[in-house]
Amino acid sequence: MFSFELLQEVAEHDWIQTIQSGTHGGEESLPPLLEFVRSVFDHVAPERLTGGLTLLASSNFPDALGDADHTLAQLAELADLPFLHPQHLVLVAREQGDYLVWNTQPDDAVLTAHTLVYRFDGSDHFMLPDLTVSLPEIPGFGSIFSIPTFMTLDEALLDYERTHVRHSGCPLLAANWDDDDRIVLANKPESSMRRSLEQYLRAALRGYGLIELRPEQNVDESHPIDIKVTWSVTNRIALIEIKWIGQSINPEKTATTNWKDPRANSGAKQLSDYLDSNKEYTPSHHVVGYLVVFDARRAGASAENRELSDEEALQYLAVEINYEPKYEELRPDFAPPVRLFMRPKTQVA
Amino acid sequence: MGPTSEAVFDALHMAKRVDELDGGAKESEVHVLAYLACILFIFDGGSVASWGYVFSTTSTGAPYAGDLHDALSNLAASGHLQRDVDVYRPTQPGLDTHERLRAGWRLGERPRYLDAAANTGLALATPVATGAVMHEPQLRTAAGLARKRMLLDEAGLALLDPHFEGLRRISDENNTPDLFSTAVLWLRYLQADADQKSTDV
Amino acid sequence: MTTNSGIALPRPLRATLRSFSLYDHAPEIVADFQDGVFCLAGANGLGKSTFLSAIGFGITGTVADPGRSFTSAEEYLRDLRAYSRSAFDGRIRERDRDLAEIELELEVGPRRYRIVRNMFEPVGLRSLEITDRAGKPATNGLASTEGDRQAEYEAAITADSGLESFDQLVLLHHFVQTFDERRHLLFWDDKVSQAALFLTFGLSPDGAKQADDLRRKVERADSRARNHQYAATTAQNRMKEVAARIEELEDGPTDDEIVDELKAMEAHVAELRGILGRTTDAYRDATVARSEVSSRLRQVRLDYEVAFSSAVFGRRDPSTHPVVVSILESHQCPVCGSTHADVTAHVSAALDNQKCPICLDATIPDGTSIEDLEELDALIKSMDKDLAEGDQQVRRLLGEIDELQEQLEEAEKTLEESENRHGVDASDLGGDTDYEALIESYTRDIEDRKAKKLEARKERDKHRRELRRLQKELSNRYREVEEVFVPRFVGLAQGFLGLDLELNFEIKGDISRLVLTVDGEERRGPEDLSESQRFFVDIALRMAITLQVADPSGPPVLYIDTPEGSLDIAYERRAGELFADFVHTDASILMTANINTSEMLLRLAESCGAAKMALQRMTDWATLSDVQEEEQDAFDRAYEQIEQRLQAP
Repeated sequence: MFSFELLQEVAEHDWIQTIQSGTHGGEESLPPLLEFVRSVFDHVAPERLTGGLTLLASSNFPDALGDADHTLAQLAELADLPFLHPQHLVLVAREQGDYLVWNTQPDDAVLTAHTLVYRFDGSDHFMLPDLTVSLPEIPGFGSIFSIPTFMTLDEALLDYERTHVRHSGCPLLAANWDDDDRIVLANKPESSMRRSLEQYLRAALRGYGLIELRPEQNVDESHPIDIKVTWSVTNRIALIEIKWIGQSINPEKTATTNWKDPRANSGAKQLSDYLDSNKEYTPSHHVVGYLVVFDARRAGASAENRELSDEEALQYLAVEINYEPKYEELRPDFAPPVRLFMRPKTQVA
Repeated sequence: MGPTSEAVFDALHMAKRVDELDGGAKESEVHVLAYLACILFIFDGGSVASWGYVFSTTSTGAPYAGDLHDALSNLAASGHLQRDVDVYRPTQPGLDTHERLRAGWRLGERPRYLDAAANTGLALATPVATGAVMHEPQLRTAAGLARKRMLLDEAGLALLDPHFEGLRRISDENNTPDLFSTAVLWLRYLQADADQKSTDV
Repeated sequence: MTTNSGIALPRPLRATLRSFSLYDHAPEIVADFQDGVFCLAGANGLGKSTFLSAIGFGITGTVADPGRSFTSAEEYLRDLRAYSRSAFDGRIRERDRDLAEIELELEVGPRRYRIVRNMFEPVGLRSLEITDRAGKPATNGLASTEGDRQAEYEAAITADSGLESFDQLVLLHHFVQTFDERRHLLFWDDKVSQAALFLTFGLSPDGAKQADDLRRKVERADSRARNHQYAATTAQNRMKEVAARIEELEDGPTDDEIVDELKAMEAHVAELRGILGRTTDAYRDATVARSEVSSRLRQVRLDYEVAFSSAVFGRRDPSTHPVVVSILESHQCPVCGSTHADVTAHVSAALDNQKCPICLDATIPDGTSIEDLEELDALIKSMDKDLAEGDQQVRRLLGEIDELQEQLEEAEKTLEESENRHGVDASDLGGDTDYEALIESYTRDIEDRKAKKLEARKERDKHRRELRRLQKELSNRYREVEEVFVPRFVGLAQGFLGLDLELNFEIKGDISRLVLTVDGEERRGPEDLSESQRFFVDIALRMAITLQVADPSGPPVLYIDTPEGSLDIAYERRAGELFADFVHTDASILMTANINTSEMLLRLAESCGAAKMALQRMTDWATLSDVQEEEQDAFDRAYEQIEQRLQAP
């Protein structure tokens, strides 16, 4: 059923509503500015913009700001942007298709009096004459407008490892450790891992139809699938089984559960069995099973010992899991297993 | 009879727009975003009969238009689009044709709706936007049935009515009459509603 | 002794039609009327008659309704106005309704008029300027609304033409000055004829109005007397029935005033029904027209789809085809899989020669271009607009129908209530019927009715005596002018008929009329002459009458619509001569004619010459139908023939 209360609540937190409401009829200017912001981040990663960034899309940028002394450059295309290293970049997208760049930060009041302004200073803001709208931060990404997207699940999983898992950039994963150095996992870390991957895929995987997360309470081993991704037009289904290896603390914090390769192997067998048993239910679909293993193995760690050398902590960085049998070689509907190594905090990180 | 001119134009326009925003357009994105555009057209006072082609659901509850599928295939075969598995990008002849068609009266009004739908990806990221459309009430009821069914018929439109009414109230209160912000708000609502339902279980 | 009535008939100098959709060749049509003949000639169905209607509408605010019978000038005008409001429906596009207007420059007696009237506004003028012949303004220009200007115009033109009331001007325009074959003929419509005669030969226009009133009063009093007699008889019958213990009783009206009132109400109801009927017809026409556009639009949309498919997918540039692109990139033949340097060379060579690399010799098929598509797109756009306009018209007419239905219901209700209020309803007398009292009441009523009948007859006779006096005056007056008028008429008509003619004035009962004697036999009924004879004798009578009234205040104007309609070929030449004779008295004719029957026009042209006759081609104003288009050469030849005669020495 439709709930107006929920819609009202959503509207209150919708920064687009806040901006559009504040521009009083300037509503058409927002999508072009957003597109401009996106294309800037396509060429320069937000992390590199340490001095901050101010963007305007303006058809008639006021002469008052076009002070020649401060004009850094006139850019024909944004691909040239990475070659500039100013403190604070001010970019104006002009109607004629080129860009003006300044390296001094102009008076915000002058800018906002003229047009809607985007500001990046580690997080995203839009500035109106009497209002600055700050956007919620998206963990794992510098800017809400720099989230990359991927056409295939394989590409997405590679990026997930890099941006979310490797240094526990995903806040769900960051909170999933029992210690600050990321040596021992928290108790029952699976559910956070599942939700982390699900959330990532929702935002980064292109063209899926449905992404379904197995409900928490459904822990029956005969239904091992954690995440099901359905593509509607191509009739493809990916069944993702998530396992973790390494150590996780018990609720009493007195000992750890220590999973090793056999745990991953049993996950592979469960997935293979499940694919067999479900073939008949989805005859018209092309189903592929994915085994995703979060790897938190640490040499010499225990409930008591968290003080590891870098060598110990990183010992498993490049140690692949030994699978027997190798299902991906036996059946075409089994993707090569994906190992996501979760690095500890180390000096050489 | 091949795909309708509206479907051909929409397929070409959507492939172009999504390619501009995200690099390449997945076929499913063309279907889902065109479906959102059609709903915005109805929200804006258009009649579903004048949209030019019809949508139904796939067995997994996603919106699908046979005309759009044929249009994409024909456009690829004729060199207007370049196809890589299920990802489409416009070619230069495709962009030229698009430009000419867009200047016409019959098709020239459509980008207003197609762009409002595609631009939601600017605010939400395209996967989030297309994922949220899947929670649209007709699709949600269809998903449970696991069989194809028509979308935007009378019963389907009746499901949308309270949504439209609520969105109009908000856009009146907030003075946000543009289709873009209405579309974004609606998608956020659909996602929030779906999230709430899944935690309720 | 004077020989004229001193009536100055309005004389159009120039007419300008704006946004008159029927004449689609120009947004503005200007017609200058020189002395003599202005003839709008062209094929049927292009709207020739409408031109004369438009001028009549400009001057009088009315268009003649062929279905309406004449009662009195005053009532005729009132009823005609309601009819005329929608007279140009269907001739003017919906979107031009507000824009369509006629501007007229008129000469009336000592003054000049310039008026502008919207084609759907019978009782309002957009502009009014009156000057004397020297150009000095003769109005105070204070009228600020369309209605005020109309009122000022009516008063001024009535005075300047020397008439008693505006309705007389309307009467003269429609019944005397205008001839078309659907209308009343003067000779054979006694009521029209009498009204016209009084205006023409009466001592004064005032007398004509008086006679008109008197005749109506006689009729009404007579009808009242008959009503009372009927009521008395009815009451008598009822009384017998009551005596025979029959319950239901009925009675008729009780009062003279009420009779009139009820009749007026009845007439109002009938008038509304008529308008409702016509509006319903217009609605039906508009609905049909709309669905025609709609089905044509459906077809064009299909055409668009076919053209679209051909434009987008039909013609392919082979160099962009994925297979060709892949060959050029991979240097591999997609058919056999082999790789030679030749593979690419063949393909490139074919492309360089503008040939398809697969079928080589075949030239690349040329499909529909996007330009063709753009044309269809524009067509659909305009048809969509037409459709929207059609919708608008249908909606407007539906609204009018609703409103009329409401008015009609209201009028019917009022009528019924009045009938009930004034009637003696049997149910009022029901219940504990006191039969003696009832019979007594009937007796009283019968006596009362008889007395009233006598009164009504007395009144009728009084009016009739008065009417007789006027008729006599008219008769005397006729005798005075007869020696000018009759030879004038006979001269015109005899030339045409080629038979001996006599014209006599006759008072028959309450009606005075002219009686035509041909070869010694009275031709009282319309069937006594052939149609051609009847029409042209009637035209001759109009000529004589207008010459009579207009002398010496200025030469008169006649409006003649396609007079040759059913003209025997033997009479064509004579008809031309009749018109020429009239024009040579300095009178003018605004006429329309079918270009096909040109002997009449040829003769007229020959007699008038370019100085006295202007020929306007209908094709300069409006688009021909496809069939007519094919005959364009024939039309052109006919025009040229007439123009040659005009130029002949």
